[in-house]
Amino acid sequence: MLKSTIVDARVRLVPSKKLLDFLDAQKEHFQQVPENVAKIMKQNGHTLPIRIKIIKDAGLVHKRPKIDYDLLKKLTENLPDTPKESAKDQPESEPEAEVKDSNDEESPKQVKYFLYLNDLHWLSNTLAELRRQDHCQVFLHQLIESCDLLLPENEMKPRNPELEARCQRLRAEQHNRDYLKMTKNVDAGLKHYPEDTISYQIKSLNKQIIAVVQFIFSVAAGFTFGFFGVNLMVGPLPFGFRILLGVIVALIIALAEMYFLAKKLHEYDEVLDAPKRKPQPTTPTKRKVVSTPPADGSQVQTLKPHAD
Amino acid sequence: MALHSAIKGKLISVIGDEDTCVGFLLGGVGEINKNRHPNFMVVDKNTAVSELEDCFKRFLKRDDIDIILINQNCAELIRHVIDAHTSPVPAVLEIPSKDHPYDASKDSILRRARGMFNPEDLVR
Amino acid sequence: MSTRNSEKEAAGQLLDNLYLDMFHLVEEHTQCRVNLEQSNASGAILLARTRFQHGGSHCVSTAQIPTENSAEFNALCRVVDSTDGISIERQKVDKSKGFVEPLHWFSVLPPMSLRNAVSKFKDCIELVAESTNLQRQLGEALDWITNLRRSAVLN
Repeated sequence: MLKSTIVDARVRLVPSKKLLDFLDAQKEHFQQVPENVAKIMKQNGHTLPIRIKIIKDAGLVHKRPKIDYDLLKKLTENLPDTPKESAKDQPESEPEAEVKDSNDEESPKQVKYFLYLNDLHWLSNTLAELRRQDHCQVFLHQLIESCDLLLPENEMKPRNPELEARCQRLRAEQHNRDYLKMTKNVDAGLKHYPEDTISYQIKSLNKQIIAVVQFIFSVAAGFTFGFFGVNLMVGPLPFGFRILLGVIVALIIALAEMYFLAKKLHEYDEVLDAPKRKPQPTTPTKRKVVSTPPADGSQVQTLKPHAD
Repeated sequence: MALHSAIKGKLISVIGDEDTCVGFLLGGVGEINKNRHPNFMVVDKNTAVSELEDCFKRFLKRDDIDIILINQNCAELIRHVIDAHTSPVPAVLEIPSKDHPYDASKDSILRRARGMFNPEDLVR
Repeated sequence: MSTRNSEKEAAGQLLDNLYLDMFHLVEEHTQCRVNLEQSNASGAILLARTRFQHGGSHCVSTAQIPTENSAEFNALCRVVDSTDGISIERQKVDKSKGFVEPLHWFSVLPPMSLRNAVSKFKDCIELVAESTNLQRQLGEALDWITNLRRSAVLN
């Protein structure tokens, strides 16, 4: 299984027994109930009176509540200890107090119903209404403190087996290459294997020589065209002008050719960096990946005959 | 010093894998100051945890750094140091890297938020 | 007695609002990180494409990044702290003042994919600033909640 990105960034809250009991006790006073809350109550065996309207809150977006910071400062200014300390020791000191509350006898894994942000907004508004009508004196925070906050979770996706096989093959190949590089000057059979044989050197030399000869040839051809060709086409030209023309044409061609040459030689360097090997007979075919790192050693053994 | 006082604003520092560092540096957050101290650190599989921790602490001490970006998989290695850092400046942001998607349940501040509700879960 | 009650009501309402605000912030915070992840990933893909097109993995790598031994230079974008959160400010490239173009570390003629990657990572930096603001607000909200919960008014 592989973790993938979070799709649903909504906050979820597992309702506690206290919250559900409260909802059940106060259900006579509700005018309307969000769909989600109604579903949760039904699942817990609480029935709702029929007159209650169920609102569908699909498109409903609540704004962040305004916070009265002046009041907040006023309320917290006479706290005995500094905020820093309280922020630190709060999590440690809390557990004893709240374990009793949140022991719901149901592990969060089994819970299939959650409260979302919209439901909490509804709950907050309803509670404010209830307090005004003197039905109860309960605040939202008293109810939700015993709840379990679930953070958005990553979706688990199984990895594509084809991709997995390919990755493993590539990884094994890379390990093999690293191993060869490491053991090159230990293993006598490999010591002179790729770079030091004459045929290999001549081969790589050949490639570069061909590239250089090609360069020289095309420059010479360019000069010849400028020197003779234009003269033949247009008619007799002064000698100095012919040379100038030839040099100009040759220069243009040399510039263009130089670019390709540089690119090509650069590529050669890169190829030479990696330890060269004859293509292994096993790798290109889509074999089942079974080779584990210990198997690399045996592969080296089987490849030795190629070295001579 | 005249050069530095002329530029207002603080720096963003990056601790992360090669691609994250290259990327954010391309975005222009990188700086090497007068004392030749860079504000980024490239973490690869050979980097020791102690090295990572030292670097993080050094960034915390520097007063010209306002945001520390750290890959979440690196943050996991030095979680205790990050949890111990609670002051808002410099802000420590755990950012996802290309092979480790963002995991909300590992983020320090979200775990703190969660601790408000069922603190016994924090202990585990 | 009634003043005490009304004060309690106000404090309770305040704490409720703080909790709701916290939920909002957690959601936005997560969403912001997911966005950051997406633009980071698309930037990484463009970097990988640049490497692929140029053949060989060492064309865009840490080897090109300046180290402690290279010359000093200044950051192009900096964080400016103001009352309503932080924002990103960019400087113009100016060699004489030490603002170098980071693209030129990698190649003199940067390919298109690398340029696109840069724009993606610039988006990332903007998202980082947004995310920092949210994280700070969230931290503050958490502090307020802990403070208010131990305040005497509620008990």
